[in-house]
Amino acid sequence: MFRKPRKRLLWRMKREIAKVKMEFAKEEFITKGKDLALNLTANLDSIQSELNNSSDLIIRRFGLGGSRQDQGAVVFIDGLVDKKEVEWSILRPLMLKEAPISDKPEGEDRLEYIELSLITVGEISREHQFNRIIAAVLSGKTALLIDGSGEALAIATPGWEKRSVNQPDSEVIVKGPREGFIETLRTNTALLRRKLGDPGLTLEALQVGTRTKTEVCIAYLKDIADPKLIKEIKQRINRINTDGILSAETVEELIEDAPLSFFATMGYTERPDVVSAKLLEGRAAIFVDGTPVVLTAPFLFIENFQSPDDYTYKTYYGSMIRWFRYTAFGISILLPAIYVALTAFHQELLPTQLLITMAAATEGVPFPGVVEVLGLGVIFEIIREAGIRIPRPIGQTVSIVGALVIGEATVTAGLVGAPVVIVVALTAISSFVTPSIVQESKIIRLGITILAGFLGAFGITIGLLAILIHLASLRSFGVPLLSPMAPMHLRSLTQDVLIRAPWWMMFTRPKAIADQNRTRQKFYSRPGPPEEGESEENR
Amino acid sequence: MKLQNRLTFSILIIAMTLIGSGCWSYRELETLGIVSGAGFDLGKDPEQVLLTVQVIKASKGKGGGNGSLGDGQGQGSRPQPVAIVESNGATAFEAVRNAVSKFSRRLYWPHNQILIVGKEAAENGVKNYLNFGIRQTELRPTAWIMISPGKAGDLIRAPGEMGQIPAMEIKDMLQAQSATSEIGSFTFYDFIERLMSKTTAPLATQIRLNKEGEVELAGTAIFKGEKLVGFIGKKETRGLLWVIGKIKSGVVIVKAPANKGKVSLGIIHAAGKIQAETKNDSVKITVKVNVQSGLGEQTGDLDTSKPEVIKSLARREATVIRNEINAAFKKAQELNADIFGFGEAVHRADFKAWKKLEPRWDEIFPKLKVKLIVKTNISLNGLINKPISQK
Repeated sequence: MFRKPRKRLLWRMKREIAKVKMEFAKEEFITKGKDLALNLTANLDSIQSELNNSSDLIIRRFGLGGSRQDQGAVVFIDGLVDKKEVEWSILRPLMLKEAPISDKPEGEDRLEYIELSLITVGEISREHQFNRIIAAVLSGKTALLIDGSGEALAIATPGWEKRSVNQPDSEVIVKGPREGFIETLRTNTALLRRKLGDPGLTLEALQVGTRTKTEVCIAYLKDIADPKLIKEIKQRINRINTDGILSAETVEELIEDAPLSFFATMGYTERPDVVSAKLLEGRAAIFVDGTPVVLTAPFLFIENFQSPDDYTYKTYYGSMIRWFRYTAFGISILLPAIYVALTAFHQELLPTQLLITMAAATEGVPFPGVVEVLGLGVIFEIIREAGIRIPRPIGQTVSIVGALVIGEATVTAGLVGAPVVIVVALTAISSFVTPSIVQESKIIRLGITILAGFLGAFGITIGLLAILIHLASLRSFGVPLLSPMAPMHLRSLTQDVLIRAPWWMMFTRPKAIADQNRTRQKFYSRPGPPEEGESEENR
Repeated sequence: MKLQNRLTFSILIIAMTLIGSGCWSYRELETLGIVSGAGFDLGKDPEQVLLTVQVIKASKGKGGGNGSLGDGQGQGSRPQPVAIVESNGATAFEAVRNAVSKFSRRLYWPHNQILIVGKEAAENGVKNYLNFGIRQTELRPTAWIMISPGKAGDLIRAPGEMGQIPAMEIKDMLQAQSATSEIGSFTFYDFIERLMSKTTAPLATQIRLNKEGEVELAGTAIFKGEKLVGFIGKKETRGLLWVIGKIKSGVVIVKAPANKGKVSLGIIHAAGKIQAETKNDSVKITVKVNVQSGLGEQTGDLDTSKPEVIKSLARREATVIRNEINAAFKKAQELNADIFGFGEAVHRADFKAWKKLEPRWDEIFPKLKVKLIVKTNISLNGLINKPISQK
């Protein structure tokens, strides 16, 4: 039916792809190669023209060691470098008369002498390619060029504005560490390094985004994480071919397993302690520069229900609260559907008194139950969205309008039954208990509610089965998403799924993730007073 | 098929199954007339069935109160929280359907609490009315079945005392009867089960309006086959319940030895067991009743710390129980209705002999001799051993 237009479309797409490919090739040709000239002025001119005379580019020429003939220059981007640092560590040692720079022969030897003996900055590298110098300057380094040298120094003097390390708003916890990641990659990796002293903590840097040149960093513990997993992550990231990466979620969408599924197959967090815990279980973390969100993979469905607080509470309460979370998830996806099914199809399942109360409350309501539930659900979503987008000072208006007008007035006016308001409100609150799966639960809820409106409890069953089948088919970097429930692994189940086992009972890492190095600690290292004659160090 | 076409195809199929079936059996709450109680009587023409139905009126009320019953008008006279619907039909099923011509909503049966059959109708045979209840999936077999000596319709019409739904009040009253165990409570299911046995007599609670016009539970109605044959009072009812093991709680009052007032014994646990033996076509029935009770109160000044006092009380208790059982047994033999299920016991004991006995059971039962063993045990005496008296 659509064969002809489709062929045309395909042909057109092919042409577009070819065009893009050619553009890429051209770009590479321009920036590739090209060494520095020996003439300082020529070099500075080329830098200036390459950066299109950008207003934030600062080029400072000066005489080396007080001489007028031997010239040098520092090049940096205003705002990206710490100017004090440039002044104290680069300009001062080079410009002062005491420095016997002029004694050294011109060219690379002189540069080497400067690098080794004069500049007091920790991170420094020598570059001779033109495009690498430009890249260094753009990433916040200071380039030092001297006359007569075909090489230049790229000196790290970072000093751009960044947020301080704060508790992340999206993952607030009661006990436990309060620090959270920020938008700067280096700070983030440092936060992680501070948690994990293990020399096996490996950070591998990659660059993605042809224009944003975003630095992406894969972190893992060398002897725990599966090498195949790391290889696969690197492959997938290298496959990214887009112009801009602005958030971790972009990376996630470009490398995830099931791009069309509404379930996430990668975890995210803003907390260094969570990332550390996940690395210790054999996962890998993907840091993306410019965002406080860190991705973790492989991801298990059960991680949606685990909170860092579970591990700071005592094990009993931790386990209990986890079951409340499972229940809340159940409520958030099923309650409206169950309400619709019970009031429209299976009134016999309700206790008589409850049925009478419900019948009384919905008496005279003009809409059928499904319409009420769906309509109120939509209204709630609108209020919620408005509450997020609205500027803080007028945010209260939304809550007043939402609570009073929608909640109270609609019931009093007889437009909506009071039970529906309760159902929708309870559902909404429940869904916020498991924040990482809010999006999924909303979609599921909508689908199942509609199915329940058509088919009653039968529809709920169909919907749940369909979702279960879909979930069971999903994998995250080779690991079944439903593991350790399906495929079932009893020890993982009893350690961190059915209950949150005490730390001394968590002997192993999840089998599905870290199969080659599973031992966390000595088997059954239950704490207690030392036994008679026990050595002081180790049990 | 191409992927795209296959996708379109499957989406179409799913949409068609959903929309085509079109909210099958979708019914909004406000379209249902929730039946709380139903009564069957003979119509003016005895061939007709007169159905009286109590339908719950659920409305918000005008005073703004949420979810209360009734229409909330007037302070002095409480409005009825139920509507009464009456309809005629050649059969029960038709009568139920005919109700639509007098009532705006479809009758909805799963929440029906009580089924009352009038005396005249029950004497004619209850199968006419109950077969519909078995076939129709909406009616629950857990509804309580009751027989009225008068018209069932009057009981369905009778207002509740607490202003609640009358049928619910009757149900609650029936369930509270376990405090005395003088009224038997029988579900529709129990009734049908007994009805299907050839010899065992079906039982139902007797319900009536007393002289003051109040609803009262009075005893048990006894059927022979599908036909009502008579009623037994509270005493006989308890005698019956001892044997069939349906006593849950209750009070047995015995006279204290040496005229020292009365003693109330609370039943803690009671078990009844029927054993049958057959020998050359003669049937021997043994009924064992085992009762554990506790001392509830005494009006005299018995020293209950003495074991012999307790023992004599237990003996007296056994006598009271035996009298009750004998009364029930006598009445059952008079009516020739095997209310205890002795026939079934014989069947269980010796099914070969039962084949011969079953056709003659109506002749055997009135002459049946029953050995009655009542064991009583008073255990929970509490910490108060001495009576209240001046020192």
